[in-house]
Amino acid sequence: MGEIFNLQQLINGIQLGSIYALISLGYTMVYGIVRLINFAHGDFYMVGAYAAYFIVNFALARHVNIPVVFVFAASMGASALIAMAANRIAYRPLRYKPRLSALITALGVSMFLEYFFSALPFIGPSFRSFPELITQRIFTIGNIKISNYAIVDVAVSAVLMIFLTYLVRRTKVGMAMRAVSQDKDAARLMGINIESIITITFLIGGAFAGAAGILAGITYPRIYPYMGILPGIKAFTAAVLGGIGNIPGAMLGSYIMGISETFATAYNSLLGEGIAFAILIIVLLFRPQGLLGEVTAEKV
Amino acid sequence: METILSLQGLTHYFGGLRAVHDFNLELPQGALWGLIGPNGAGKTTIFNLITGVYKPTEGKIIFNGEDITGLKSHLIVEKGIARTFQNLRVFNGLTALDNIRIARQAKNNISLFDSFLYTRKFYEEEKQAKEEAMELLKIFNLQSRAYTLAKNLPYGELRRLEIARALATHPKLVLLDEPAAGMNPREVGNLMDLIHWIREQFKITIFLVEHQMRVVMGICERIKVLDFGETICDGSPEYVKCDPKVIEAYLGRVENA
Amino acid sequence: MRNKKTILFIVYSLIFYAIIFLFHSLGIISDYILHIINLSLIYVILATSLNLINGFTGQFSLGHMGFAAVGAYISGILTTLIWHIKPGNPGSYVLFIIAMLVGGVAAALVGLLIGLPTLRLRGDYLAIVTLGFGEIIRTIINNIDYVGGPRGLLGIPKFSNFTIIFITALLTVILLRNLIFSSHGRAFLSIREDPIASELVGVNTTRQKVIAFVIGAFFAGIGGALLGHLLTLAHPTQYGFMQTVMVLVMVYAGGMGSISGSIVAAFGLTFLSEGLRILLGAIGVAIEWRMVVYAVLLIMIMLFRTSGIMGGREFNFLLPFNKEE
Repeated sequence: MGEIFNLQQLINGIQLGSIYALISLGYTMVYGIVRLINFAHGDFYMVGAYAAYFIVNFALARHVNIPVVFVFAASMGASALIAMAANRIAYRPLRYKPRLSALITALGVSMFLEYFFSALPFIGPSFRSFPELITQRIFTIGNIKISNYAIVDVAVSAVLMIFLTYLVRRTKVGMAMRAVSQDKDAARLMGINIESIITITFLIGGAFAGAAGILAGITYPRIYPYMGILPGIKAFTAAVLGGIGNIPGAMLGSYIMGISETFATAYNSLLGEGIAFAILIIVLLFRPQGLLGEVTAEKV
Repeated sequence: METILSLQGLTHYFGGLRAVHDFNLELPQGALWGLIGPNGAGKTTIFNLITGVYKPTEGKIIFNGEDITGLKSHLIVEKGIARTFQNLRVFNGLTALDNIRIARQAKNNISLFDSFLYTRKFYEEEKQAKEEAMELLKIFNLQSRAYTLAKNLPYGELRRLEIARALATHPKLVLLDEPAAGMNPREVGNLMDLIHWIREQFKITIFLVEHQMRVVMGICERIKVLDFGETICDGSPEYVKCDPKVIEAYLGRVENA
Repeated sequence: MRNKKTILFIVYSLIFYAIIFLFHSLGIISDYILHIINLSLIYVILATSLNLINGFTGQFSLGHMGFAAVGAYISGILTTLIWHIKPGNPGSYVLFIIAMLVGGVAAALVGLLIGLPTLRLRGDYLAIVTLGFGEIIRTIINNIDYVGGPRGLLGIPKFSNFTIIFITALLTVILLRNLIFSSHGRAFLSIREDPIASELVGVNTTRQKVIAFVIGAFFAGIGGALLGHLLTLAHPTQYGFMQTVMVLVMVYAGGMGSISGSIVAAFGLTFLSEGLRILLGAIGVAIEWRMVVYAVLLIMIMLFRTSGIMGGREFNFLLPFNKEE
C-alpha cells in the first residue's frame, strides 16, 4: 500500500504548497522591487484569516447568507490595506536609508501586528476556531481521499497565480513592475512612478497573503495571532528556494516545500518542522541564487 | 622587462551581455600604463575581474607568474594587487587613520587572544600599525585629518585617502579607477605629479583607467583603448591619439553624426 | 597591566558593585530590585554581544535567544541532571563556571554551524536563517523528554548571584570592548561600512563575519547559562523570538556600534519592562500591550533616530585609549 499512501501525501503536499505559494509570491514580489524581506508578510496572512472570521461570524449571527466570493474579496482587501499602510508608514520613509533599517522596521511591523491583535480584547492571544465557510465533502477514489477543501485551495491559488502571471507579463502595470525591479533609476527616467508601483506590489502581495489566510482558515480551522510566523518563514524559504525575486520560482519552490513538508511530517513530526530549515540551509550552501534565479553581480 | 600582470583572453558576460571580449595584456614590472575608452566600454569590469570581484567567463589572470583567476578578492590583495574605485569607497563612518589601518589587516598577525587581552604583542603591533599609517597620511598631506571621520573630509582629500589606503596594503601593483574624476585642472596637475612620485617612491607598477585624455596622455607610457569590450588600439600616447578608430570611438563616426 | 583607563574602569565598576551590595545588605534595595538589577546585567551581556554582530559588524541576526537557550540548557543539564550540584561549597561554584563556559562553547559551535554557510552571502539571508534557527531550537527542546520537553528544565540550582553575574558582565564588556578596539574590531566596522571595499583592502570578510557571529553566540550562551541559574529553570518560551526582539530593541535603542548604549538600554528597558508589567497588571490590561510598546519603539527608533541614544559613541570611561593616543 506504500505507493497509494504516497499519492495521498502528494495531494496533501500540493494542497499545502498552494497556500505557501500565495504567501511566497508576496515575499518574492516585494523583494524583487524594494529588496526588502518583509517580515510582516506572514502577518498579512493572519489578518486575512481574522477578517474572514469576523465577516462570516457576523453574517452567521444575523442569519445572512453571504457569498463566499464576497468573503474572499473583503478579507483580501483588508490584508491589502494593512500591507499598503505598512508600506506607507513604516517602509517608505526608509527607502533610501541603509537596507538594514527597513529590515528592522519590518520586524517591528510584524511584532506590532501580532501583539496588537493578541492585545485587542475581542481577538486575544488564544486559538479560535474558524467558522465553516464551506461544508466539507470528501471524495474517495480508490484508496485516496480528496477533500473539496483541497480542490478549493488548489483552484483558488491557481486562479490567482494565472491572474498574476497575466498581470506581470501582459499589462502595462506588469511591465512597469518588471522595469522597477530591474533598475529603479532607469525606470524613473522612463516616467514610471516608482512609489505607485511599489504600492501596487504591496496591494497584490497583501491580497494574496489574505487569500492564503482564508484558505488556511478553511482547511486547518484554527486561527490565532501568531499563525503567520511559521508559514511566513516557510513561504520565504520557498521563495529563496525558487530564486528570490522570481515569480515562477516562488510557485515552484512553494510546491516543493509543501510536498517535502508533508512527506517529512508523515515520517516524523519533528522532521516535518525542521525540513524547511534544512532546505534553506542546503539551498544557501549549494545554490544561493535559487532554482530559477540568476546570479546577479553587485555594482562596484 | 619582467611581466608582473598577464591577462590572457579575458572575456566576461553579464547574462547575455558581453562586457569584455578577449582582452590581453602583458604589463611589465614598474610600468605606468593606461586603459581608456568611452563609457560602458568595460574598463571597470576589467579591474573587477583582476581583483576578483567577478569571475571571468573565460581567460586567465597571471600575477607574478601565479594564476590568480577566480581567487577571492582579499587573497588577491594579499598577493599584492590594490585598487581604488571610480565612485569613492572609503569607510565613511571611520577616521582617516582607521581607514588606512584596516588596509594593513592582511599583514597583521594579531590573534583573537591578543585582541581580547591586550597583550604586549597587541600593543607593539598597534603601535607599528599606527606609525605606518601616520607616515602614509603624512605623505598624502592628510596627517592633520587622522582623527577626522572620512565622511567629513572634502572630496579631494577623500581621493588621496583612497590611494593612501590602497598603498597601505603593501601592493606591487596598483589599479587606479578614474583617479582624476571630479577634480579641477589644478588638482589634476597635482595628481599627475603624485602618481609619478608614488611609483618611484614605492617601486610599484600602476595600471589606470581614466576618462580624461589629458591625464592618460600626460603620464602613461602605453595605452590600451577599449570600446564595447573590444581592444581597438594599443600603443604609445602619440600613436593612440592619432588612431582614427580611437577618435571614432570617442567622437562617433562622421557619417553617423 | 599596561592600560590605566581599563584599571580605572574596573575601579568604577567595583564601586558600583559595592554600593549595590551595601544597599542591599542594609535593606535599601529590596530583593526584588536586586533581581531586576541581576536581570539587567544579564541583558547587558546579551545586548552587547548582539551589538557585536548586528551593530558593529552590520549583520542581522535574529537568533540570539536561540544561542542563549543552548547555553541555558547545556549548562543546566550539566549542573542539574549530571552533576547534581548545589551552591554552597566553593568547589561547586568552580563546576558551575565550567558548566557556564561549556554552555557558551556549545552556543558558539552552533553559531559556527549556522554562520559558515550563511555569512558567505548577503546580509538578509542571515536574518531569515537565524529566525528559522530560533524556531527550530524551540521545537527540538520541546521534543526532548530528557530536558523536560514543553514543561521546561526545572530545579536548576541557583548559582547565579549578584556577584557572579556582575563579574561575568564586567568581563564580557571589557573583553568585547578590547576586541572592538583592535584590528579585528576595525575589520568588523569596515564590513558594516562597505563589505566590498573591505574585501578589496584585504579583509577576509567572510572569516571576520564568522568570528563576530561565533563570539556573539558564545556570550549569548554565557548569558543564557546565567539566566537559567538565576531563574532556576529553563523553559522553551523564555527563549522565543519575542525575547530576541527585546534584546534587539536594546541594541538599536542604545545605538548600533555603541557598547555604552547597549548597557544603558539593557538597564533602561529591563526596568521599563518590569514597570510596564506592574502597571498593566494594576490597571488590568492585557500583558501583550507591553510588546506592542516595544514594537512601536523599534519602528520609531528606525524612523526617527537610527543611531540610538548614544549615537554610536561611547562613554569616555569605557574607551581603552584616549582619542589621540
